Amino acid sequence: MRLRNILLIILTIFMIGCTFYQLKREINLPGTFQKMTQPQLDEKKTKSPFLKVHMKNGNLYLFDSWKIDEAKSAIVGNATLFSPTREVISKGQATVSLDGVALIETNFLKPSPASTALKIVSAISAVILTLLFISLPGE
Amino acid sequence: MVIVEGGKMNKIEVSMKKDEIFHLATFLILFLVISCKTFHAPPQYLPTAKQAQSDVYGGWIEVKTNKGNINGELIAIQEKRVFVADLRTLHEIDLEDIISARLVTYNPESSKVFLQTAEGIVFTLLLAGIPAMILSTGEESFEVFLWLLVSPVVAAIWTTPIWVTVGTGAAIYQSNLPIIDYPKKPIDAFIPFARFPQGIPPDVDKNSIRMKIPKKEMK
Repeated sequence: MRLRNILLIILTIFMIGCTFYQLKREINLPGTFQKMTQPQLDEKKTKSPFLKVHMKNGNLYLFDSWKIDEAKSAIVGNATLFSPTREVISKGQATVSLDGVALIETNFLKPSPASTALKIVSAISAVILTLLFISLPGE
Repeated sequence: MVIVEGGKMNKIEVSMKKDEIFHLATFLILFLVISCKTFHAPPQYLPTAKQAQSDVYGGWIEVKTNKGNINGELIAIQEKRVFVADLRTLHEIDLEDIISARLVTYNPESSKVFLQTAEGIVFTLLLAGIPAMILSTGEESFEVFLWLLVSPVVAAIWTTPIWVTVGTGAAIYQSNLPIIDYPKKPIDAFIPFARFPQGIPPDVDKNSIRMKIPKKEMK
């Protein structure tokens, strides 16, 4: 019983590890967003919580929550507006017409294969330790 | 090959073993140094992958031209020219003048991979001894005492080489992930990581553009 508890603690410790990420960036024309179906937009929203909207005049809207309106002519949500020199112009609810948009940027995070590799080694170590504990005298 | 005679290891064999370990360690360090791509971004300039999702600046670029080297923030790539801003000015570089360029899109945090590898090695060795220590508090026995001594050694022999090899490979892989090299990759591959992927708008005053000032604490 004690051994089982110890094993559980060890496995838990090994499972706690940093996850390292890789970033995938996509640049889309506004037209691409207009053509997307609602499920496709929902998927993008889930994967990319932030949306960067590059305006034709060099300004940038950074949305931390967003949706495309029903007419598919504007992006609505909570955003910070930056100037071309990246000074903050305004913060709050924003409606951005797609007419003035140059490009829309989405960023996806994926766990890096480096994380997976270290987790596999952790699991191998846990197995080796388990085998060692099974050989422990008195258990 | 290690020869054990009468419970004692031959001195020459021990020395060879040490040499082998030393050579392996040197090889791994050299492999690491050669394989990890270097860059000279100021401290705190690069956001982590998570922070890059909401970072509003361009990536860090190092351009080698036939007139000298230029480092700074990638502002735009348009009309066969690369625009790079440093703290003083905005450089306009003709693509034909560029010998090579390296873009770093975010901080790979490869040092954390090293740290996790080191933690993995130490944890394995410590954990190998702990159960025997706990179980030996009630009834002391020679077997448990022996197990306490032997188990970390056995764990080290079986797990440390795996941790070192995979950890080194993982760190190299992670450090190279956010790097894009020109001419290995076309210059267009840099565009999504520019401050203005659409190009510098005509109304924007180019003289007002400076690189991102690295902050001590990034949100």
